[in-house]
Amino acid sequence: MLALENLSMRFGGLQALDRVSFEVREGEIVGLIGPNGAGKTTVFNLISRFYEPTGGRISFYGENLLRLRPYQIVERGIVRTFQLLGLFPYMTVLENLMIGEHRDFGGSLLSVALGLPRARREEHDRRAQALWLLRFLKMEALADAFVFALPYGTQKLIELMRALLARPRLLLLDEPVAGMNAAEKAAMREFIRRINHDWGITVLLVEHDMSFVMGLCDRIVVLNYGRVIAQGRPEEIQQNAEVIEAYLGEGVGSARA
Amino acid sequence: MPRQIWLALIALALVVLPFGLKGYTIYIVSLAGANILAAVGLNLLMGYAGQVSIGQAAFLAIGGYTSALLMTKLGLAFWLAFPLAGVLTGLTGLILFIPALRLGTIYLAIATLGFGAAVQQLIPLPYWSAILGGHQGIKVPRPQIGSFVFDTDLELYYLTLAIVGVLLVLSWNVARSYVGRAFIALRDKPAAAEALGINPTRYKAYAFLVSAFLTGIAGALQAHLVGHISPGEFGLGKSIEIFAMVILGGIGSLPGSVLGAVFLTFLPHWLSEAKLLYTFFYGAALVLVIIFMPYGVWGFFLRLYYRFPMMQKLFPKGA
Repeated sequence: MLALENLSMRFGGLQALDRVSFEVREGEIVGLIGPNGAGKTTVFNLISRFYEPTGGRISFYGENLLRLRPYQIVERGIVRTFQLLGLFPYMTVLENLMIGEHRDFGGSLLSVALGLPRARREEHDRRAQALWLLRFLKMEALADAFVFALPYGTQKLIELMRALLARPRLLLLDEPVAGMNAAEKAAMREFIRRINHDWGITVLLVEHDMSFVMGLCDRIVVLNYGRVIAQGRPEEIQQNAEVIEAYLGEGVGSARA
Repeated sequence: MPRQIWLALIALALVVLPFGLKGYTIYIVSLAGANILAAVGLNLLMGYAGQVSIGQAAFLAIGGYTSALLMTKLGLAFWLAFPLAGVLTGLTGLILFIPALRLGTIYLAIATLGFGAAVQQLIPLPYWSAILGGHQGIKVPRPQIGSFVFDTDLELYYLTLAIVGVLLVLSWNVARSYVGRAFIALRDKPAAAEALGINPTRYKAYAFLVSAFLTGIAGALQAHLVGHISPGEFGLGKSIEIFAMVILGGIGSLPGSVLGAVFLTFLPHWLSEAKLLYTFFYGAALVLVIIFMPYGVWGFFLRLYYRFPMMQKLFPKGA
């Protein structure tokens, strides 16, 4: 569904990405890994259209994504989360979730201002949908809490819920378990599996936690210094000499879990 | 008590308010109504959408002159000219929206400052003094609906009450809607907002449109209340006054803007005894609020609310 072909990105003298090519197929969970500075988040920022690549193309179901503006990406069904949280700190949990539903709001400015029935119904339905998801995850008590007051792991989960409310076909997760403890990581892994399996959402994720990636992903793409040095199933990646060297004893082998 | 009861009580109090007041005080309360709309207009732009403007007086002037001229030169009825003045001013707000697409906060503030200065300088130019009246300005007709002319302070007060009430409800609707949420999202984390499908161009345009519309209505209302309009009223001082109303009341809070506007409308009248010291007290009030109420007067009330259980009993949460 998503294809990157010879994607290159240059920041001044730094070649952040060098002819990166890989595909994400429908229904997969794909992990994008690599040492710090390998260019993983740059890949996300290119797919989100925050950066203009210096070369190559990105297509989604055959459509050239490079023709779109960042806010149009979500309409195609690609939704992302952010490494350092993209939540709005001065909004409540419920309000944050309703931003995830933004693309489903269509009432005109005038109908909103006048409080016309259509605008009211829209607001009511979207609120109900967001509350449903909160209840589904047994988090309804948090609906009116301000986001900045919540634990980091909870914030990560809320950001993921918000992304789900945007009805993604492809979900891009930037370090979904960074800063989480073991129990939170296990819960997150289970949640991503369910999203993928039960709801049919394809996932591309960047993560440093090797055992998390190896235990969750169907396929892994390894970046090093802006190049793809390996891709394949977790078992294959763990055996790959070049990958082990790139991590220099960071313990891809020992992370077999 | 539930919110509906409180709102009903406030409405009732506002209806009977003028019966204890002198004509002149009633007139000042009406002017406060116009300032409320200007403050709310700036707060939606600055507090919600994060677009700083210190040229709002220009929109007041445009709204005031437009409503007056639509009535006197084109012969439109008040009930038509008045809202139309708001709409036309809203469209001129899009002039500022264009630099806002490219400029960061502080540069946008300077651009709006320039806009305010330019409008004030343009109005008294001799080329159109036959229409705009130059420095002397023009007379503004009294509001009239059908054959009823709003002539006395009391009649004008009730007209103002109705207009301000309706527009506050509309502003509140926008602020609490997906549009208001999009404003805040773009203000706090533009990248995350855009990644969720919020088109920054569209919502910045909305913010300027809504803000200029409300300020235009405020200007028209003020002009009709005063009965006269001239460029001298719309200098930088006026823009800063509106700015101060928003800061005093609490940025990002619409009830705060109402309080800030009322307070700063009355302050000069309370301090009129102290003529020369007026600016001193004015400045001191601002500094004190910024030091002791960093989230404005409304934010201060909210903190009291959370600190004292009795307040929470009187005003239950979510009501």
